[in-house]
Amino acid sequence: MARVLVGVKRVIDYAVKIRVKPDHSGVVTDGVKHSMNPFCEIAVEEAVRLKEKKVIKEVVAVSCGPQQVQETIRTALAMGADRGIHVEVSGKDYEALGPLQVSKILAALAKKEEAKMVILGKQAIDDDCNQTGQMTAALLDWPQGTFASEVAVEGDTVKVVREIDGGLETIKINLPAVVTADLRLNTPRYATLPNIMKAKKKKIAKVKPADLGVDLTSRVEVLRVDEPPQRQAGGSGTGVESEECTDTQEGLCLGDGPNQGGPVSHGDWDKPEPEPGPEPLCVCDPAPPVSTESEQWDTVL
Amino acid sequence: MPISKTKIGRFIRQNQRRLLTRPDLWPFTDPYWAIYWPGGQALTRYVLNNPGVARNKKVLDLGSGCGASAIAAKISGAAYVLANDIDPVAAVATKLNCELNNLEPLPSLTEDLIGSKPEGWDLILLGDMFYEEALADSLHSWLGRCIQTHGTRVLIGDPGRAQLESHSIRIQLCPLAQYELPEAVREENYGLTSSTVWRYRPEL
Ligand SMILES: C[S@@+](CC[C@H](N)C(=O)[O-])C[C@H]1O[C@@H](n2cnc3c(N)ncnc32)[C@H](O)[C@@H]1O
Repeated sequence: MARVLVGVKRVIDYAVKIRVKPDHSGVVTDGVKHSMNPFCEIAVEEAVRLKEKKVIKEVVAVSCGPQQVQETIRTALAMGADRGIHVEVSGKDYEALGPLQVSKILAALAKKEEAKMVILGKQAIDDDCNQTGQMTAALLDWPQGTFASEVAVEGDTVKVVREIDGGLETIKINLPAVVTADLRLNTPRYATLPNIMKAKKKKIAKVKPADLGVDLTSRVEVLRVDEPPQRQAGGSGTGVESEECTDTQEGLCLGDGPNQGGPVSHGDWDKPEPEPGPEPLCVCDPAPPVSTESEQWDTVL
Repeated sequence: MPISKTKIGRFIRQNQRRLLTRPDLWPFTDPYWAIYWPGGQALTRYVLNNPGVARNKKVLDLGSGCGASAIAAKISGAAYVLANDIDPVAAVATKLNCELNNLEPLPSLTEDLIGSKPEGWDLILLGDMFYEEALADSLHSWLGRCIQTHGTRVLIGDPGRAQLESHSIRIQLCPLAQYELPEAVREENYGLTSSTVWRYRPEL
């Protein structure tokens, strides 16, 4: 059965003002609103669309972290993913969890699940690393289509239109492959209440990294985390530099594994967009009016 | 004290609009009966299109929810239809839906029949019942026994849920019909585009 694995990361919500801990060891996460990394939402959306086009049969959403990441998986299930896998990582292991460890986990799961494609966000808005997709592809020895703004499966290949500096590059790669989602790939749908309710019973399997034969040892030491420098008044506002830098983890992005990344387009997420971008999914959003069951009754009975 | 069924019925009737449009305000936990599931929709359509499968038959709709498939069986001329759902509110919803379809209320039962001694059903209908692993497992073996002891015909409606697609029962299923889901149903069931009616044939 053709299956797509999608990685979903739980991050501090993009609208939250990030605060650095007084001891500069990291950022404050306690009591802070979290949601799915927006690029992961785009990845889930693309996978669900492939399923709706009947190109693939099953979408499996994976997240690594403590119990709370199950909420993120539930959101993916409410967006149309079929089942979830919660890779249990907590405490010190979670603090040290970086792209290399996540890539090893994803690579192991991709093999175990016999995935045809792994779709990930191009980067997470918390650490801005932009490494997981590339490293996952390297570890699997699969082709990769990074920064995708268009994905089309054609038989045993996939055509990926990539956002590169100053233009678009169209490539055709063999399946299985790793694809990472850029901002313009699609606009994710809302997890509406009827879908949230229907997602409640979808299965979330729990696995431990050790069950997958993955060693979580990290070789990166975070020396210090600082607030970004205050912006100077009267800047030209070209929109090239990140307006609100969430890049709080200096020293964390010294790739500690194979990194064959494409060009990094910084700060895309913060750039003013032509259209309002995907909004965070929230289970407490007021539900849009749903079509009434009685209408369906009339048509069917 | 449990709330009486008449009270629940009155509540549903009076708050119909709000119940249907604001699921966040539902005062019931897991009101599966408030949803007409895509698996049940296909199964119901199949029964209405092929009334012969139910005509003069003794029919069990297991996990009947809103009661649509049971009602379709009755409309198709079944001799007897039992709407079985462990949620007592589902029985009330089925009664209201019988009224809407100008039918006498169908007999209903809230007892869990899975695992019990198989009765002589001619036809068992299962709309969207393969949504949980444990439930799928117990249904698999119990339905097998129903077929073995009474030659019951077992029809399953399912929109391609992972719990069915990856279950060992899957290779014993014969497709009878497939329906494309209308846009409104897709909107409420992201990722699903069609729903299939299967016949369970353990001999396969
Ligand atoms: C997904 S709903 C399907 C409802 C309906 N058949 C339809 O397709 O619209 C599943 C229903 O099965 C019921 N159910 C769960 N376990 C059951 C059991 N052991 N026996 C009878 N009904 C059960 C639930 O209460 C719920 O109403």
